[in-house]
Amino acid sequence: MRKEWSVFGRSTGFIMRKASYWMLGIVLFAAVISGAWLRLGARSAAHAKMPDARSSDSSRESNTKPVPPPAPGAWSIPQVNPTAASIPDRAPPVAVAEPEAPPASAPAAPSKPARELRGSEMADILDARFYGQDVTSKWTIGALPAARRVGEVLGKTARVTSVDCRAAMCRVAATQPSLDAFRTSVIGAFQQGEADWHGPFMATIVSDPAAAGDLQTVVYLAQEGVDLSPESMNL
Amino acid sequence: MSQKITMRYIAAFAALAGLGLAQSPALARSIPASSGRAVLASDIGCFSMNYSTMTNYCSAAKSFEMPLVVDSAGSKTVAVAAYGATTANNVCCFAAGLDRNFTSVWSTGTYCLSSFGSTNIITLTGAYVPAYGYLYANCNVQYGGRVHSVDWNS
Repeated sequence: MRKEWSVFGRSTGFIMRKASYWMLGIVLFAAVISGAWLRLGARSAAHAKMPDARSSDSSRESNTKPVPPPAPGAWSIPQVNPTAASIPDRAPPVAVAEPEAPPASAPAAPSKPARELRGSEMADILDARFYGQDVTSKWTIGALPAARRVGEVLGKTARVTSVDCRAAMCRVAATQPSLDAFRTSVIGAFQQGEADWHGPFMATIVSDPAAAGDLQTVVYLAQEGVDLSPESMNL
Repeated sequence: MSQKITMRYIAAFAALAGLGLAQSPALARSIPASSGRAVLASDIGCFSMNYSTMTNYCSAAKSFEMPLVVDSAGSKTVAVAAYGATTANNVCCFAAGLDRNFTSVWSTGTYCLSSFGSTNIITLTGAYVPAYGYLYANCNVQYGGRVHSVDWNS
């Protein structure tokens, strides 16, 4: 029979049980702390800076109803000849394989650390996607007049160089006289609803915003359900 | 012997708990509508606050904008909880992400309430916030329309 030792009047079994409870607490505490640390480390740097955006009027009487997402596989249609309405202002890049458009209600993928993409990089990526699409679709027929209307609104401050629509996206290129003109035209066209466009869009400055002279800008208008974010292009 | 087994169970549980915490989904945030404001200063008086919900009592539709804090770059899904008694009290919203210099904009489409008489969720997908960018939701609120709250993946 094993001899039971005692320390300060307590048996070793009692001390071991007490020690195990303490160990449990320490291990759980360490797990929670390390978990929180790992979680924080996985997130990219916090940021929520407010630039010099100005307030604007918005008294739209819009009653837009959600438009059904595009048919599955709409992005996999190969490129064919351009239409007469197409007046591209830059050489079409090489077409790339397009991912399937996600459903409009799909939750966003978890964020991953990202560097700040330049407008020209975004435009290159979206151009490749745009020019990789089929020229026409049922959506294009209705979208082209709407895209021209966007061009007319942008044309209040800019020289519109092309308005082009493909299967699920339109592209409006314009030369703006200044950064403020670009901002004003985007606010007017979309936030104030002058262009009467209710679908998703992405607008960016292609040339260096800090450079002197005119700015090359582009606006991509998309069919409902089409994701224009870099994440949708696996960037 | 039994203590060793117990300790192994404890260690395994602690490791799983830590792993689960580390890989939990992205943070979600929510705000009451009272966090926002009318886009036009002259429209501020049109909105009345009640339990932090905001109702437009002017006869014309008014634009109401809410800043949405983000913790990381990425695509954002924004859900606006809003109420309209009838189609004449509709609420239509979009969300947009911008870079910090306002040289690039990613906007969702504009969606409206599709049913009336009870609070409904307007889900907006497609807003993207680049690194150091910002996010907001904008709702066009008709007379009697009410915005309750907004939640999103930050």
